[in-house]
Amino acid sequence: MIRFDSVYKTYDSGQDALKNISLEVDHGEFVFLTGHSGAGKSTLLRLIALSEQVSRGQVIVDGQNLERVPRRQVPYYRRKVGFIFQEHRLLPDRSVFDNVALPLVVAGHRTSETQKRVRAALDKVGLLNKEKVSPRSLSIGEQQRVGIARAVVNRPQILLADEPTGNLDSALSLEILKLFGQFNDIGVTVLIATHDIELIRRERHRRIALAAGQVMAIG
Amino acid sequence: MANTQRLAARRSKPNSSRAWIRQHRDSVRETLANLRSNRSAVALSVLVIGFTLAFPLGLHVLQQNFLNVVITLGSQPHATLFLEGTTSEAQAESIVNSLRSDPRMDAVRVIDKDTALAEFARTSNLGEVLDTLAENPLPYTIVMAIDASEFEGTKGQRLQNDLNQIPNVAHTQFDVTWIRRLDAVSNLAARAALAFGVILGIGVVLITGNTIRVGIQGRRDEIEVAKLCGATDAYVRRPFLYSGALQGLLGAFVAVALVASAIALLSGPTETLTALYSSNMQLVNISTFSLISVLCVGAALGLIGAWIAVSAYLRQVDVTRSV
Repeated sequence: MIRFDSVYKTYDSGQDALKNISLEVDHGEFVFLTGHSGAGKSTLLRLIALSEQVSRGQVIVDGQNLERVPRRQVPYYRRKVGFIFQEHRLLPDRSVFDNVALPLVVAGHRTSETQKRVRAALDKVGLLNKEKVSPRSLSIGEQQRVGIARAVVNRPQILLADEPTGNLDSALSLEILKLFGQFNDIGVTVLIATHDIELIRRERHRRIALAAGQVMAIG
Repeated sequence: MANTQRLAARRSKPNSSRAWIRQHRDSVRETLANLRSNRSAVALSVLVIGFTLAFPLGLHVLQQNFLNVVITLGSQPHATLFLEGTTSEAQAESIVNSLRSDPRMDAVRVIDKDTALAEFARTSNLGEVLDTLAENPLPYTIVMAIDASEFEGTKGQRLQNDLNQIPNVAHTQFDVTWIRRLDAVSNLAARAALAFGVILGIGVVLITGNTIRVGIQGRRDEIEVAKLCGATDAYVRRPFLYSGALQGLLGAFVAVALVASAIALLSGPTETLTALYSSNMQLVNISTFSLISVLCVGAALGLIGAWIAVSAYLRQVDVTRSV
């Protein structure tokens, strides 16, 4: 599903974020991406979401070489990928419903279809009763769940999460992780970047460890 | 079963023309909401656009009125036809009649041979000499007042040609030098209105561009999240384009209001002035054509400004694709 072939990423500042990364994630797999902050986890996810471009090498997602995705097709590619940020990045001036609806609105879905799907996504993360409130009035854990609902509402094939439990205590983290597991059960490929060792220990999923922009261990 | 699935797929397929309309409707709604939340900044921008556009529009209306005012205050242009000496009274009469039916002529007056001779005798002190002549040597003369508008552009030349082609006309004379000068000044004013229009039009593009740029800065986060959720550039651009066009349009309305008030303010004194010249001249207001033009131009300039601002922003944030 996702393949990296000798990928290098150097930022304009000259910082080498990724050095010679080669890895493969199968369709429907659940993978943890571990490493200290600055190890290149976020960059790797951003390359898959096509919000960064490789400096060298190839990233192939679902048989598609990302370097060959034409500029105009990038938005359509991104709709296949759900992205969850550590700081959740909800829009504070819109309701929970509108935040979750964004990927569908952007894609031009019918209002009735949007409503149905948003409610289904909110139901899934247990926040159906909060659809009208502002994200500001929610707890951090709830905000993160809204972020997840937004990421899955478009039924993406791939779910990427960058430190999704970074700000949460272990009970809430586990809850979030369980949610990811449920999406994985219905065939979604899940890739979670985290440095939360405890979290990784609890679940028996494959791990890819990064350090200083290189793959240290797979397994 | 397969059929229902295909049908369902088609029904939820988002990229139809209906989806396009829906997105536009959402954009308009979003634009209005944004304008409402930025009321003071937008109002300021609209006023600046209005004052900027008012200048060329005012100059244009001034130019439209200029000719009228000068002609009302000055004398109407005249043309004089001297007929051949052999022309009979009946022939002269028929020429006068045909001239009177010409809509371009305001007043046609004929000076017959005898009147002309008497007039000449009176003004020239040659009465005695003239008395010795066996025959009246003066031709019929026809004097016409012509509307000044008949001398605009190439119309004057055509009029002159038409008059020269009338049979029995020996010579035509126009007192049109001053009207030509007037026409030249009027053309100059029109050109100036156009030049200022272009310069200030660019100004309007920059003003809206800047307002939109500030608006974009305030919504960076939203745009970034939307783009990560798969928003196309067109989707991001749309509300800003609406906003730019709307600001330009409102600015154009302000410009029209300013110029219309100026005309209203001037119409009283103008009537007093023209009344002193025993004439009743009304100031020409902004024509429907000018009105529609200025509104369209305002909206278009706002749109262009917004387009430039959003495109610059999208290029700047586009880290992904250089191809």
